[in-house]
Amino acid sequence: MMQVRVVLVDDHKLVRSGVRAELGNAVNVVGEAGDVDEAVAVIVREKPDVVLLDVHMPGGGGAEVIRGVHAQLPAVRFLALSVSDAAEDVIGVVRAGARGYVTKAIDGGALTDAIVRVASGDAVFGPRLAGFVLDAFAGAGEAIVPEDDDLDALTPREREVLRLIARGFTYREAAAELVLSERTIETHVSSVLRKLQLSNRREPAKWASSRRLV
Amino acid sequence: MSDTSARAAEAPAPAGDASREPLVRRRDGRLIAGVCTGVARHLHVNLALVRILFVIVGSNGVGVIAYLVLWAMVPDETDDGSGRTKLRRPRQVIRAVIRNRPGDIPHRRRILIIYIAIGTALGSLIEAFGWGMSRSGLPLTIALIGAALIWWRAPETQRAQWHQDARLAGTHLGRRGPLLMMLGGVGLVVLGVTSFLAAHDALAQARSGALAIGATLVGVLLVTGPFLYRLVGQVTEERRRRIRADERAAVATHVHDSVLQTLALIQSKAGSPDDVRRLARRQERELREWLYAPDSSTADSEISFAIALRTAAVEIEDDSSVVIEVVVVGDAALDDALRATVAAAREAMLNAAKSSGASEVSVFAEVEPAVVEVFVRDRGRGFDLDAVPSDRRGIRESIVGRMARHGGTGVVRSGPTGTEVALTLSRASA
Repeated sequence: MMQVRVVLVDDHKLVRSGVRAELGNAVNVVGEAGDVDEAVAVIVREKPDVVLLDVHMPGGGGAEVIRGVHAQLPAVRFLALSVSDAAEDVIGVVRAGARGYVTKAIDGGALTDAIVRVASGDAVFGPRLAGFVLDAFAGAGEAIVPEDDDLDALTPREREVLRLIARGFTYREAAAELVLSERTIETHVSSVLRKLQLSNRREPAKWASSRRLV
Repeated sequence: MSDTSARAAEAPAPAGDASREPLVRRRDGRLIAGVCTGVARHLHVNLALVRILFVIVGSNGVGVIAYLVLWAMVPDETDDGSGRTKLRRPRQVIRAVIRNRPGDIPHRRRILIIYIAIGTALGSLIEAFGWGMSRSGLPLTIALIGAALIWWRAPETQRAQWHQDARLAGTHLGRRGPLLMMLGGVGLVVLGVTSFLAAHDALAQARSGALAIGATLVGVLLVTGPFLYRLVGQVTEERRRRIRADERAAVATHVHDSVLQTLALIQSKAGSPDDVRRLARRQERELREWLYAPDSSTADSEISFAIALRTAAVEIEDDSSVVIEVVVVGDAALDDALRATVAAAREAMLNAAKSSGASEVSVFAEVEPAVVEVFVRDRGRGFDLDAVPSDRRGIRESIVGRMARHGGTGVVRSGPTGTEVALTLSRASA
């Protein structure tokens, strides 16, 4: 199997070398960058499969990097990696186009797994992100919304899946719990991600402050 | 074209020079006390013009007062502190004017008289032809002094800008041109205002009082405006600086009280990984709270469900070496039932931390209008619920029983892949 090509973007060199060490030989780290401009240059040059992206950076943060690259390289996928617990930051990067969010406390195996998942087009939702997203869509009249294309609400199934993930279930465990295939769980999560990215009515800052989140 | 550029080149940037001479009275070339000479040099204005202006505005007294004030306030160029005592008595003023001093220009008194003559003549001419200004001598004078004050008190950069603007408008007038033009402009404005006042004087005697007050107010504003503006700017800047300093001090205090202390503790406990992990974790949590907590002002008054749940998790984390990830969606004010739910969740966390063997416990709580749910999950070894001896009250009493008493349910699922405690509390009845 071809190794996933990864670019690390973080303004702290220490974090980059730490992540690199954690990843070991599981993936192929082809480049590093310490700020937005550098990141865009490296990504355009290397055309990696996945960019591990810090949420907070001088010069605009992860969302800025995604905006700078996404138009010309739509195939590059982004995974947000952050210590930030602020919902606005996390949701902001995800909305900009990141396929998932993991905390920096994640261990090497789980991080590799997340990278491979993102590379294959899946969305990576940990408990925390699932909680943020549930909160973002809370109060949108759940349970009565039919399974249609409405961007402003989650379907009951999507909510169920997100709640299981928030409870700490892996995709596989959630699939077993709901008697679904793991593939279906992934489809639901990707659909939630799409809604989050396309819906304009979920302005993160607004709901985060209004709901006393975090 | 070439003419103007040549002039511009030879004129040594009249406004931009930082070496603007300070306002001092000049002994050399004085006619009375060197006030006009000093003003002319300070402002880069023609000396004769300044003198004639002073005489003109002096004809009604205001100019004389202005001159005396400047005499008293502006230091002599060789001031040794005695300069201001020379005006104690009127006799000294007269003596200073009449007596020649060494270093005076030749024919000083004669030149002074000529200036006074020219100025008075011009002044009477203005009064005679009047342009309707005969009653406006005083306002005109005040306006002129106001303009001079504005010019004098304006910040250097502002003056440079004025110069620049004026030069752009009239480079062909040469070095003195801009200033002359500007003075002319100010004069025209004053002229317009005063003739307006005069013209209305006859028509609306009653209103002239109000107009005079208005004009005076505007004048005062013009004179003090730049000064006040700068004062306000300074105060704002000062306040901003103070806030910044306060903030920095607060951060420094916090870093010292928490982070540095923890680092010291970690060093002293380097031999015990559990302690180090716990300390680091507690510090991380504390720092996170400090950085990302929305605004603690509301949190003090009431402890919400989310805060209570997090607090419980923190306490257990501190007593054990597990990491408890708490995710809460929504929030509500605590009531008895919710307090019981938190207590039950605490018990579940404690069980997971103590006996599951897992290093991480996830807690997920969701508060909805109709129902509150809490899930405490670990990936530990699990246990057989039926095998738990009945004298162990933890699960049965503290979790299941407690929830039941408040109209909720507590369900424990345990297996080889871990344990999950699900607490459900219906709020419709509560």
